[in-house]
Amino acid sequence: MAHFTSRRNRMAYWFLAPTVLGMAFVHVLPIVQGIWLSFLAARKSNLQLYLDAPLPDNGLFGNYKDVLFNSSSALHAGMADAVRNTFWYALLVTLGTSVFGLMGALLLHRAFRGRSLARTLLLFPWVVPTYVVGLLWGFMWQQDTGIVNIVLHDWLHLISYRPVWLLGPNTLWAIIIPTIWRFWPYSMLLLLAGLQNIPHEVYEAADLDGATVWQKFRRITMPLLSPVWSVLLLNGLIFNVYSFNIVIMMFGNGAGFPGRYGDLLMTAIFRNSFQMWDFGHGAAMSVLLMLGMIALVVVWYRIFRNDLTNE
Amino acid sequence: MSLNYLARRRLLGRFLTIATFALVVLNLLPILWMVYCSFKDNNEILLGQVGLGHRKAQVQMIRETSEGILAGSRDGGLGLFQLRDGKLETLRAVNHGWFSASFATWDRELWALSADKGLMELSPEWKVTRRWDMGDLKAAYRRQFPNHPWNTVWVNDVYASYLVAKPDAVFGVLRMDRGPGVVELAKPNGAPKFLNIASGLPFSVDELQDVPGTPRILMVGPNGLIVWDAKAHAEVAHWEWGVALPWDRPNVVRSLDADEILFGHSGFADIFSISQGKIVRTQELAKGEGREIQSAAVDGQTAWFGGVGGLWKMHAVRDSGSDSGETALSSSRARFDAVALAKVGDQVVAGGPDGELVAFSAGNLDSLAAGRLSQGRIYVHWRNYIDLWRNLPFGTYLFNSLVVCTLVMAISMVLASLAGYALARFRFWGKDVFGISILATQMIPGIMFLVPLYVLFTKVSQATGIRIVGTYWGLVALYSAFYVPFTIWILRGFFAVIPKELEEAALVDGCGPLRAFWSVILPAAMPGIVATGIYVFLTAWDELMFAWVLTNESTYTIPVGIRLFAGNYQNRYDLMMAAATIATLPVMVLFFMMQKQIVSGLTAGAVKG
Repeated sequence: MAHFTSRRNRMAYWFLAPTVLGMAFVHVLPIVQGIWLSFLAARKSNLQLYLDAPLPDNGLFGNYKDVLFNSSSALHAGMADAVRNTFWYALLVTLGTSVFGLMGALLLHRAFRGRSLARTLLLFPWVVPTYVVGLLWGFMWQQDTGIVNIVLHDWLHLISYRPVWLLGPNTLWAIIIPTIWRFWPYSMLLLLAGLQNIPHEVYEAADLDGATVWQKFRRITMPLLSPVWSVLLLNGLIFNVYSFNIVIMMFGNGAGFPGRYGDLLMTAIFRNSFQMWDFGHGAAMSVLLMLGMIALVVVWYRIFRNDLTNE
Repeated sequence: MSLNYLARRRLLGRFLTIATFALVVLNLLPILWMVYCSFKDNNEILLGQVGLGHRKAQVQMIRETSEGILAGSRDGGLGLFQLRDGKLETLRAVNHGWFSASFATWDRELWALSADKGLMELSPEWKVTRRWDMGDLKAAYRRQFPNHPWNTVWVNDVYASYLVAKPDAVFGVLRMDRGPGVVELAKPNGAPKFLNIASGLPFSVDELQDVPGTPRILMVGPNGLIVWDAKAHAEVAHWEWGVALPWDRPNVVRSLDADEILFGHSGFADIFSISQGKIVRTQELAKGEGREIQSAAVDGQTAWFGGVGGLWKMHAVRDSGSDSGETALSSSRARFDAVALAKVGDQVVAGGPDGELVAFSAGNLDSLAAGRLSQGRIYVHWRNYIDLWRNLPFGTYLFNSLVVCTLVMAISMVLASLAGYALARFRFWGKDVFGISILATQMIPGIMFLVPLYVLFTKVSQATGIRIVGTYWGLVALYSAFYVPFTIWILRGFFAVIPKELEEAALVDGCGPLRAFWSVILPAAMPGIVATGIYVFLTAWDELMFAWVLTNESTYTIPVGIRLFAGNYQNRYDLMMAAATIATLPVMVLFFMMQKQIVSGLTAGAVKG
């Protein structure tokens, strides 16, 4: 076996150099500036000063105090709403995509005529751009002209009135359902691949022992899928907490406020930064979000460490 | 027992297959709805007419001709009827399926104007013999007024709603937000010409009424009334509502004879005399029942009015001495919304909003007979796409998106292949740090970069004069650098599973490491690279937030274009859905073609971690 010489290994740096350079400019430099900015009272009027912008009136951690503790500040209330919505949104979307994904994967994990066609067609929503999903479902949720109310109220008579979907507490469902629709095929795809990786022999052995369908599912399928679950959970976490396009396009056609019950962290931060032009508070919110995210990923890593190292 | 088990299994299998395809259909419904609505008429969408049923179109014209009663509807339906044995018998019927059509007759000529087909002359068999489409009319408009806007959103905003045929010319209204007005088509040479404020009309006009037997036309607009002489090509007189005329714009304006005009309001009507350039109210007809007058027919001393819920008749007592409120009023018992009305012989024929026709006796308004114009087809058309293309530089957006996404895909694949290979095969100091840091970048919210990058870019531009915001390369560089980390992570997996022996054999044969990478490793990893590249393309196609802040008019990508468009045309769901369909189509086609690679690549990348 030929040995890799150290000279050859040194080539790795050349291979990595363009990427490292790019990341230094696009990731490292901005993030340092972003953290710096989060301590300043940076807004559009003093954009010229940028990193020399003055500190907030209430001290070095003023932006953080405003966002976290200042109950008289609109930012604080907005952030609380956004955190609550994002929590439920990420949780329910991850749950929904997992359940539907597993269901779809189990349905497809059988031999039947038209299987590959069914798989292709089931994957279609995943290709629809997310801004289109937001626009399309925003139209579908309309109270009078939307197809959802037409189906539920006019055709099926399931409800006796036409609910308002894009206002009030219903908003949360109005953003969760389209997101599940957009992302569940991806979960299905990964779970299907996971199912196909499970060797037949395991099931045959279980059959010999007289295991029921449920027992096989509970004791074999689910545990053996856990590497896939770990990937899905991480993806779900990152995608959903950072979800932006669907929500921003659904309300006011890309310019509106999703309301107290539909505002997510990303839309809240974006609005603060680029519509209210309050960069300092926006950066503080971003830093807090990033810290929360890192904490979640650490938890995720501790739970799934075994699955990852087994690979 | 065993057979029973097999049969049960087969039944279950069939049930599951059906369930799978039911799920497929359910899952596709939103996409199908998007595509379906992109072909639909926006008014139908707004009215909630979602089905495939016939479009309802109101009656626009009723005329007495030598052959019978001629009626036309807004969707280009034409019918010839005869009153016989208490029925309106259809002699001939056709439906052209036009949009917002109106008709006019002169002698034996029949003319039509529609928002989608333009101005047409029809033969006695109701075939189109001559046509000036919207392109011709627009060209004529451009020739006449090189510097004036022809509002390009013409469909749905154009109410090609009134048409009057005179001996030498046809006059029609092309109503838009701004721009065109009355189009005059001289019959001998077929040249269209526009009459509007720019060509000397005192105010804008959106309704035309014929003054039969004279060369005159009444032009009605939101601000006033113009009496126009078609032969002299000149205005006879004009008055403004509320100035010379004491009220707001009436619902209906009809000419009684050369010098008298009838105005129908809500619940009452007036007759004005316009002799010697003055307009004088000569008559007020009885207070009706407060009903909205929508149509009127006049015959000598009597006027019939139609409106929501019925038909009523008033006698004008033409005695200027008496302040006569005593006009007889009688109304029909039939519940019927008369939107068009004509006196035909001893009957008054009324047309309704759904294309129905009812003949009433002119005397006591008994309803005598009913008929119906043939209904339009399902209105499915390409018009929304054409309209979208005319309104927006959608081709530019599409081009920008394609350029940006392709470049991003190419650049990030090159960088990530190199780095991914290094990460998979080389041992070097800092490897773990690098691996963790590329994963860590995925934990950072994109918006965190956006503010500093935006400021950084503007600062750099101010300092060096190099523009970054609003250029292709700014966006391409940014996206590439952004997508490289996760691309590296996916590609690392593909490089790791390539047998080391392949590469070693190449090295033994005397290849340099670069050569080995290029001619051995890359081809072996190609399926994975292709799949990842497509994934990068799809991701870049989906990016809205950075593009929103970092592009300008010339570099808007599709998501930004759609967002701007959707913000400007809040209620044009038909156009929005057309835009959404166009944005989806390229990636859908790409996915469909490369499906196998994408599926295998993604699952391999994800399942193997």
